[in-house]
Amino acid sequence: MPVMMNQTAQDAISVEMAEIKVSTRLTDRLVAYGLGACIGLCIYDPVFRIAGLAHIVLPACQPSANAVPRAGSLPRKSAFVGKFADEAVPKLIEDICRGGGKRENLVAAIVGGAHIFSTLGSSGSPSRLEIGARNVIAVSDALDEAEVPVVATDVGGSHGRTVTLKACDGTVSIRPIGSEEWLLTSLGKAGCKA
Amino acid sequence: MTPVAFKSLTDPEQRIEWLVENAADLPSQARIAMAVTKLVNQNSASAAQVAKTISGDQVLTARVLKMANSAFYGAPRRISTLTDAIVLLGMRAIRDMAMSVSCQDLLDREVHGYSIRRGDLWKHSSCVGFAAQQLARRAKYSVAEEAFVAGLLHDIGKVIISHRLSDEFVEITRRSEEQGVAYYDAERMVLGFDHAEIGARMCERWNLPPQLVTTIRYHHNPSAQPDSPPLTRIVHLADVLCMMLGIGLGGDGLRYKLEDGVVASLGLDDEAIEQVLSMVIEYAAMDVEQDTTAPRR
Repeated sequence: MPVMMNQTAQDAISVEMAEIKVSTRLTDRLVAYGLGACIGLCIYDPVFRIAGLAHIVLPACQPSANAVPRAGSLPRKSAFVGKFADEAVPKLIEDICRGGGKRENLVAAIVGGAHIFSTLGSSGSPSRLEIGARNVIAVSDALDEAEVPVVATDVGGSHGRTVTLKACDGTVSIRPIGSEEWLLTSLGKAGCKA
Repeated sequence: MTPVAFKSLTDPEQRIEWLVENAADLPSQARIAMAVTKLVNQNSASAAQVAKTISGDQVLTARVLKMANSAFYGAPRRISTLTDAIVLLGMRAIRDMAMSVSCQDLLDREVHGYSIRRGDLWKHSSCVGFAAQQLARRAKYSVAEEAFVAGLLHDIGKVIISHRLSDEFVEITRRSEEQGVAYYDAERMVLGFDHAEIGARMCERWNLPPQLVTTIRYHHNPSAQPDSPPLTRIVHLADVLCMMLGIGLGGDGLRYKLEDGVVASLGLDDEAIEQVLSMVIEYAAMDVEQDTTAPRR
């Protein structure tokens, strides 16, 4: 079942690392705090006014990534559905559609993917440790495959960001850490034009 | 307000000495945790000895038991005594828990000036400790628990600067923003020293082991340390990885850089790094669940 916000939820809903949240309540704001190389993927259905935000951390799931011996157990594996781009993008779309959205209405904004390792691989593509750039590519590819248009991006750079998506109109705003918030786009308006 | 006595000093060495003299003592819980660490590292300690040492502080005992019962450790049954916890989870796990919870009060404060909200420095510190421990195991570093403690305490100097030198921090922030440099560079410009140096001096005062002191001192530039031991490179890498994930990012964002060659020098490959990143995410999520007392964002 999608993670739907109920009527008792508060206005600002934090989407922590590797989480996906969807809201239909018009007063809700979905917020992913302090994105570094991570991606805050905002997807919006402007017709039914359904908002979804995924806080994506890594580009792709590797079989070995979940098979590492560790001190603690992994009691809530299902809570980390947003960890990998290749799994998170289809899951977010699925959750929005389960909440009443239509795939053909959806529009997206990609935020985050800051750089920290500045090296490039021998082919000119990002090296494996350039997680931010790889995240941007992985999310873009997955959205392309799902045929969800990307109408705005704020990616790269060397600063952290907090992204907020308003359920009422799909407004996406960004607050670079230590700076003022600014408006990236309104997915509601962009979706109607798309 | 920065104390007048500090402002009257111009020599960086005198300023450091003043700060160390006037900073808070190590919390008593942390002293007990240090004693537990020493005991467990001797390899001859009994469960009863370790339990007796921790139980010298009731609050510490309660916090360790709370953590031992958290979902992260996945104990097979409810743990109600320290001896139970040691038997079920192992002495090393209890040692790390004691160290972790004992430092929480110190690190779980709002750190003005660094644009770090209350709780975020604690989250960053505990995640760097965890990441350092995981990297140490993969790098086959013989004392992985040292990496945990060093990671936990690496930014302790930020707390001291933030709480004692609020006036200077206005200038530090301005320099960082205008010149696009990391806070530690701006700290050196304004104060003549950085949070790594003051953190190291504090740990010296607290009689922490010398390898922890030097790791804290060089955690931003491990190549500057004579012989550049693996522990410093491990904590440096863990710090950068957590910043990359956005855990504890301050106003200077991602201006912290990974020194060239650190990953390869530890015998680690990209896959190992991604594995550790993946585990840190889950650790961070559990940390949020456990910490129900501190106000979150």
